[in-house]
Amino acid sequence: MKQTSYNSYQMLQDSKNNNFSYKDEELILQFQQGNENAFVELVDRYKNKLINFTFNYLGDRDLAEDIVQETMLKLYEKRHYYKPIAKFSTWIYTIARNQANTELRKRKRRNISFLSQMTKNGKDFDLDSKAPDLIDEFHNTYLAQRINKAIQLLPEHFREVIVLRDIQGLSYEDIGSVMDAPLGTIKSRINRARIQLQAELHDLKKYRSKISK
Amino acid sequence: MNRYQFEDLISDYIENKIKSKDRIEFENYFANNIKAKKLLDSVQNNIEEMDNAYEIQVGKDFNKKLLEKIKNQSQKRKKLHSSSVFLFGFNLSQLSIMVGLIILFIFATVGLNNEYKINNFEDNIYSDEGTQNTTDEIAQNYQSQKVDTTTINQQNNKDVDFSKSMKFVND
Repeated sequence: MKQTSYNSYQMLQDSKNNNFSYKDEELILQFQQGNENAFVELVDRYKNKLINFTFNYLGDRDLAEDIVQETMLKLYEKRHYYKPIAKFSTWIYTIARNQANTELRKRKRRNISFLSQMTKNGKDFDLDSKAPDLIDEFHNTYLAQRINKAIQLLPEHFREVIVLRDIQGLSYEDIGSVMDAPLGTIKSRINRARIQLQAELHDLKKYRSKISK
Repeated sequence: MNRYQFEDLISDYIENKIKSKDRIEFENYFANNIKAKKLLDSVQNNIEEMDNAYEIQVGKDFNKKLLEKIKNQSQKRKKLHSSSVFLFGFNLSQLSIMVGLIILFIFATVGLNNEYKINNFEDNIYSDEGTQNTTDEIAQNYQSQKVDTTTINQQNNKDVDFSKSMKFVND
């Protein structure tokens, strides 16, 4: 078993040195055929995308990371369930979404409010900043907080689509596949979600123009 | 165009997916309506902000933790697999249940067999005695039926003395 672990770790290191130019779908096929390097590459491609999706959906950073871990574990264990008829990205987002929804249901049963938790522990916006300027970093963090809190106020079905569309940049068709909903429904939900968000974030433009002065 | 129609087309307009006919109507509407223009600008701005919003990243030890989890899971599975294959592909618990059921079945079969034998034996005995008893009873009944009922009444009447209980009425 130690040998396996070592091999996996070696593979991880090796994969960092290799520049994969494969498509996601090619990588998952390679992984299905036993190439674990392909798995590590897929993890590296999707871990940050998925944590942004789950974080904006759930509003809890640690929980979001746990869900991404579980998603990757599922990817490893259920790799043979993937069929090339679907896009890999929609498949992995669907797994992450299902994991997040399971967690949401658990939380609802326990009556825990994410927002109340967010304000209590203060760890929710532990953002990895790349901003060179401290003041810029402060403003950007503040804006990210505002956006995240506004998203958390949206109903669940709006929250999912707005994160997938405006933060993750998925196409309407892909969102439809992830959500297993018709295109018209997705379009309408995104539009409604944007209008609802606007009510919470209408002053962002003013704030942005102030800080840029 | 009314407010609701305008709101429905906001995303299509921002994403350049609006039909040309609707576009003219849409642009005319917000050109004459400050609130509508503000709403459109605000939605557009929010989309940009979200697009440029800080992205969080997974912890530095994410891959290490993941590999640990994978390792633990496969270890668990191997343990489960090794403990599960015990004899003829059955694990210990399945095997013990099956043995228990077989023993129960044997006891039940033996018990039923014994009970059947006893019942059979008793039936044989009772069938002989029973015929004897019934013939005796029939004979007794026959004897009792042979007694004349009038003599029984006479005998009974002899025993009863009505002299003291009788009263004579004066003429």
